[in-house]
Amino acid sequence: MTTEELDEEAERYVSGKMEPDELIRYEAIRRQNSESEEIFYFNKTLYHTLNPGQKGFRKKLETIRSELQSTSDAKPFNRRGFIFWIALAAGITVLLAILLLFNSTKSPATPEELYMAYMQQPVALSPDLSPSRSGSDDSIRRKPEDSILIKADEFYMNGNLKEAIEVLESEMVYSGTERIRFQIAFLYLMTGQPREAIFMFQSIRDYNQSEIYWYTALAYLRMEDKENAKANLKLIGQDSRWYQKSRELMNKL
Amino acid sequence: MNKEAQAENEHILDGIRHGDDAVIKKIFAGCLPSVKSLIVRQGGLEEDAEDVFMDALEAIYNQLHATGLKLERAAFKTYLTQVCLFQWSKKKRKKKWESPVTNDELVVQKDTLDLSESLAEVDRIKLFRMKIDLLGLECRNILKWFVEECRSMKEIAGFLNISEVFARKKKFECKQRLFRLVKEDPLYNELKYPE
Repeated sequence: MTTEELDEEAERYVSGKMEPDELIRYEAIRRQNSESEEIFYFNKTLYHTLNPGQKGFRKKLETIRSELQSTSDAKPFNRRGFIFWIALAAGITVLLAILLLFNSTKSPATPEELYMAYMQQPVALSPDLSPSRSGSDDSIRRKPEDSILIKADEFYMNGNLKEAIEVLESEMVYSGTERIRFQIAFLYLMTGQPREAIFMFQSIRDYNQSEIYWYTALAYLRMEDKENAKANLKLIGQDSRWYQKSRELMNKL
Repeated sequence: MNKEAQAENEHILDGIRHGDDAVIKKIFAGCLPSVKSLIVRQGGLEEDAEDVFMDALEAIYNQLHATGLKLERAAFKTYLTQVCLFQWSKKKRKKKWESPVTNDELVVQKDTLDLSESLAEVDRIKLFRMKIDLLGLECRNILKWFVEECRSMKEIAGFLNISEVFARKKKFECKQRLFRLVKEDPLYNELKYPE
């Protein structure tokens, strides 16, 4: 048996997809060599790690732990502050109720409409490198890729998105850093190439992952694929700046 | 142990098995302070105690879902405290289990050791979680879809817009990458699987 076959067998065993006679046969094979034994244990731990119940339980423990920490850190009860927050919450509730009533008369938005509503075009691709923010000290600290990013940004700010892509793509042939790849993917999305954008986003390994999930979700929306859009929105972490928006968008899908 | 205490143990174990919020909160409130004070007295930090406490609860959850767990000889609080101390001593790389043992606690030592494999598995799970985060987005998605969401390879191939054969190959490569990352970590040698 090849390693790949052993892996598939282990996978079927730990996920409970084997028939009883297969189980006996597999267990015999497993004990015969150390490689299959190791593959079995790795699969077992992998399935435990990604088991929704196990993950959910750990998350619950962490939530309770942070709740307890915040309770113990909480300030003493302040009556005036309490009344203020209650009044504020009541006000927001009334406002939300009015908004909900207003929205309920409308038909649900299409993926295209949602894409248009949530896809925001930033003023610049690399605002940190804009000439107004770069003093002489900054230029000393600059990386080799920065001149390319600045050039692409100039094209972008003038509305020449295709030229911006070309500049970045030409650099990618030699040294495509994650930032360059991210900007190319973003520009693909902006220029109506969501499929290419998704492929590029998925090739990025070391970047702000929540940002990638957010734009990948928008790219799927552009392709009218709600399920995959939702799957990516779900992955956005609570500490991300996209978290609120992602939950809002998920509710609309 | 009297019947009342046994029923209380059953109630708590059942709560953990089902992830009952109220029961878990009660465990935190009732047991964490004493675990903290014991671990701090043994040179640990409060955060160490909280980590160990959560590992112990996760191991109990694991055990309950794997082979089950019966507590007939000691109160849950005593048992959990012992498990935490056992885990803490392991963390401190002590060869010998050193903890203040009372008569009540003596009887649970065997049960605690029975849980040692579940505790080791929790350590492995934490290592796997760490390494999964190091994988690329595509690999993480493939593993999530296949293992966590039990999606078929056909569906996954559809998500990635590639053939099923290629998707299967990708999944295998992702797993190999993950296993390599796990094996390369020095911690892996300390988390050996059972013989």
